[in-house]
Amino acid sequence: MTIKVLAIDDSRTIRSLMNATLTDAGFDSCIAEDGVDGLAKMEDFAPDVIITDLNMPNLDGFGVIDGVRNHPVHGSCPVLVLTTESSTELKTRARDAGATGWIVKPFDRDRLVGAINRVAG
Amino acid sequence: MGETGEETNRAEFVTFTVGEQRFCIDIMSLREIRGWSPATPLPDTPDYVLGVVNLRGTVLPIIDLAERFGLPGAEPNARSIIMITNVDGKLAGLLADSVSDIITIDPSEVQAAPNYKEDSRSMYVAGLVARDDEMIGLVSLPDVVGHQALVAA
Amino acid sequence: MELGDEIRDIFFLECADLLAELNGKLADIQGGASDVEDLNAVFRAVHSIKGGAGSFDLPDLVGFAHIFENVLDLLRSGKAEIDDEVTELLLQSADILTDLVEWSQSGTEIDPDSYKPTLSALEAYESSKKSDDDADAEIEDFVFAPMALDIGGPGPIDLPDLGLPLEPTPTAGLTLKFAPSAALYKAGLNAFRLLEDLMEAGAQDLQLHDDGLPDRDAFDPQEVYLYWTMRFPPDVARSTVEDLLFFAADKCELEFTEEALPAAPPPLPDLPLPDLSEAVTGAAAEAVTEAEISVPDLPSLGDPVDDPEGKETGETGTAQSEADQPANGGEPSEGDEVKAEKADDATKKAAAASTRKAPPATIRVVLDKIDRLINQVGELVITQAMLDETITEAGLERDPTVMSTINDFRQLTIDIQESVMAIRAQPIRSLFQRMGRVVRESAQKVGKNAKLVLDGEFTEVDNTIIESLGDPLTHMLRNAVDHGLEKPDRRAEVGKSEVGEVRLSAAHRGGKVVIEVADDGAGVNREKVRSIAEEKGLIEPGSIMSDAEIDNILFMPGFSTADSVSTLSGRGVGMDVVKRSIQDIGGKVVIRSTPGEGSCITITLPLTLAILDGMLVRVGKETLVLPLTSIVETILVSPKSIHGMGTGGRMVDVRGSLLPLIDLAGQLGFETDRAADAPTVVVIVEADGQRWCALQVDAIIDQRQVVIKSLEENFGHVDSISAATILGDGRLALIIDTEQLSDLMVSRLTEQPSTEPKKELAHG
Repeated sequence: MTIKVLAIDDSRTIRSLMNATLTDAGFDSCIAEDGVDGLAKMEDFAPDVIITDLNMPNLDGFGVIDGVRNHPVHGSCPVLVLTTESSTELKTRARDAGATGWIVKPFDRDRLVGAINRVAG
Repeated sequence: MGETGEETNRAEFVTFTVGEQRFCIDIMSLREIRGWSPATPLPDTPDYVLGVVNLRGTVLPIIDLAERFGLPGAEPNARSIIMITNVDGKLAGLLADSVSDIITIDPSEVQAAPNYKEDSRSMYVAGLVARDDEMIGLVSLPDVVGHQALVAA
Repeated sequence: MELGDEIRDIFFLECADLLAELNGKLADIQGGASDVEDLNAVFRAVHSIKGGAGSFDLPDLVGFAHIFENVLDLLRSGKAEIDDEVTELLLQSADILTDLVEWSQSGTEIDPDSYKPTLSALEAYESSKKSDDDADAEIEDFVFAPMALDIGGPGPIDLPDLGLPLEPTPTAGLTLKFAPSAALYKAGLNAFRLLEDLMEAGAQDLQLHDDGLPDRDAFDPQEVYLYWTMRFPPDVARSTVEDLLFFAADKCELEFTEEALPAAPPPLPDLPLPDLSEAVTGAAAEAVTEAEISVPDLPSLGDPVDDPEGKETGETGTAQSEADQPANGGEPSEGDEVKAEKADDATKKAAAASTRKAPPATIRVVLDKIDRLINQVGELVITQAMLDETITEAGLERDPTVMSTINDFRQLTIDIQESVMAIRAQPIRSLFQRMGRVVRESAQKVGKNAKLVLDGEFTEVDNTIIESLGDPLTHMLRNAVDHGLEKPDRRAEVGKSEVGEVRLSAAHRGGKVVIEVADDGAGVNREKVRSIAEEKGLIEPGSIMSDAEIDNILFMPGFSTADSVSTLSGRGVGMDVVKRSIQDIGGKVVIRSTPGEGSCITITLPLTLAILDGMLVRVGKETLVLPLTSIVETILVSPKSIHGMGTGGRMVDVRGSLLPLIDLAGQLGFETDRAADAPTVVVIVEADGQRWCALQVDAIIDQRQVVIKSLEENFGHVDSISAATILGDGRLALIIDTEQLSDLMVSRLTEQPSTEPKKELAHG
């Protein structure tokens, strides 16, 4: 079965890159532009993996993680955090919030695919 | 052209008559051939600019080739034809009496243009090609429909 | 990936939006009307540019955006205060960022010197605030340190008992107990995947332990009772394993045991572990707490890993908090509390987000597609007109059913047309905001103080008009700063604020867009303008001119004031070029000036370049279109009111005032069957917002919206004709450029170079 990946990022560029990369790698991808949009799309799309940016308007990545973790159905969906920072402080915050893993921007295809496969299923 | 021919230099030309003389233009510059329809005259333009017409929403000028070449020409009538040409992205309609043929010309066939004394053809004819005992004038389209050529009265 | 170019395009499109957002918010911040959200938005814009740029190998852009972002982060987190100085720095940085994006897009080689001063200023600012910040961090460290000691306290006491060396021996092998909790699965992690990763990292002797399984009664299917133990060869650093398990660390029990090198070789995996777990159970507290026994080791082993990361991101003091983290996260109750708080936070945020006015959803469309749609709607309008004619010809215009349907159709056509036009309209804000930089830089170059005040930025204008306004507006604003505003000392002398004000405003007025560039400078120095104009032969010496006429000499070709050629002027671009480019998009430019109080240039533009409200008139056999916006009135004039002039021109007496009369047929070379002694239809048009003239036509046909079709596209400019339109029968009608027509006429009538810039006509 194709792995369904929901990618949330407020940058159109990153969204396009994500979408292209994910589709190219054979994943079923769904793109959202902020946390609120992402959580809304999660309902219908029922992703196997969620990749989210941290710094976003409306609802940031921590909000997304909380939203996912408190969700009755998708609560245990793996959430990978995509960010330009590799600061341990942010990483720890993300972990405490319930993140499953971490991808640093700019991501390369192999790392992204590897990270998704690692947490999916 | 030359998708079929071995000699890639050969090109196809459309021949037509203006004031009983034969001319030809590169078929690649020809977009379509239409019947005559009245043009809307433009003020302050040379006599050979008959005006502008609407071609599916695009405005393009109509050039009277007879007038342009200084040849005696009949008034445009129902049998007149308009050759829509595309030169450097600009469309223009050329008024001629009729379209006759499509011919293939090898560059080696082209002879130097003669010095027409009595008219302005020499300005617009780049060379001559012999066919069926007739000389066909190779029209230099940029000189005929070039932007500068049209606007400068 | 092949998609690179496409996404690169998307990136630069996004950059344009982000820069607009950035400049907009910075302008708000500069204006003092900012809140934290503005700073956050500014931060995000720069952050997104950096994030995207990182994907395209644009090191200058990434590097600059990074420092810029850091400074913004200090401001938005309240570690630094917004003041005039830093606002100026932010504006400057936004300018540089704009340049860098532009250069990156065009592939221009970037000269680092071009942005170095600003970069250094940002770095200096960051480090000045950072040092304050570091002091804070140090205080935090002190707060944390005793805690670390408290927790670690029992550790060092217990550790000697366990016989573990205090000093980590580099050659030691590592043993790990990995006991996942249910929380691990809730966070989307999978113990088996983690085990795979650990095996890949070199774990050996993996053993599953089920001794944690409770009795059948006490068994909770949601709980995890199994745990694993494994051993790593000496070359596997503990930090490597910790990194692998980073996201699992607070959701499982991890026990690291360092083996001394000379210790017994492999075959005794069970031995040290039970020892340890016994020690664990013995230490009344929860097993998790015992994991912290190893914490004191962390700084020494962990540092080399954490430090580079810390340096990379410019973070400080994170190694310490990292070391503390497992302690905090490990306590289930505390962890839960934290989570509950966060969930609460998230709900609040979500609620706040939904109450905040969400911007309407937008999509991005290639302009070509809209242009095609506009063309097609144009065709629809024409088809509609053709249908009207067909119906009239068929004698159906009295059939109520047909007419009611036709009227609906007509209304729908108009609605569609308006909707389509609205698609291309956008607020002029983006253009206006770019002008802030123009004023800033101009003022800096000529040593003046100037601020730009924007008004009516949300006025919607056709996109194509906005695009063509960039250059003329830039020039006008430079001009206002350069020539309009006085130097600060001069301003002080006359009792004005030292900071000159340039006001840029936009508004819809009577079906047109009116843009004004006003300055509170000295106003046009008419004496000087006049003498220069006379000197340059632009006007006849001593000719009688009104103030307005003198002011408008500024727009004459070849005119340039300013005592010295500054860096701004002297570019070979005069206000005449500005006027011409405004006229090219169907606009008018007029300047008004009051000595001592300033000047105001008013630009009047059509709402759109694609459609025109026109009056259809007949001249001879031709149909012509007059722009409705320039028509003052239409009257029927008797031949008696028409007076010949000496120069061959004619004037018409309209209620006592004489207006130049232009016979359109004669002017355009069309034949007319008009009888000389019959009353004639005259359309009075306004030119330059002040001059009136009368156009003689054969008949008035109709008033309607017409679709503008360019003559230039396939032909070229024709004097007195602005464009063409397609009539109901498919034929073309010419649209008259009344402005140019009257310019032409007036100059012919008067033949006086003083009243009209003749040179302009040559360009006509």
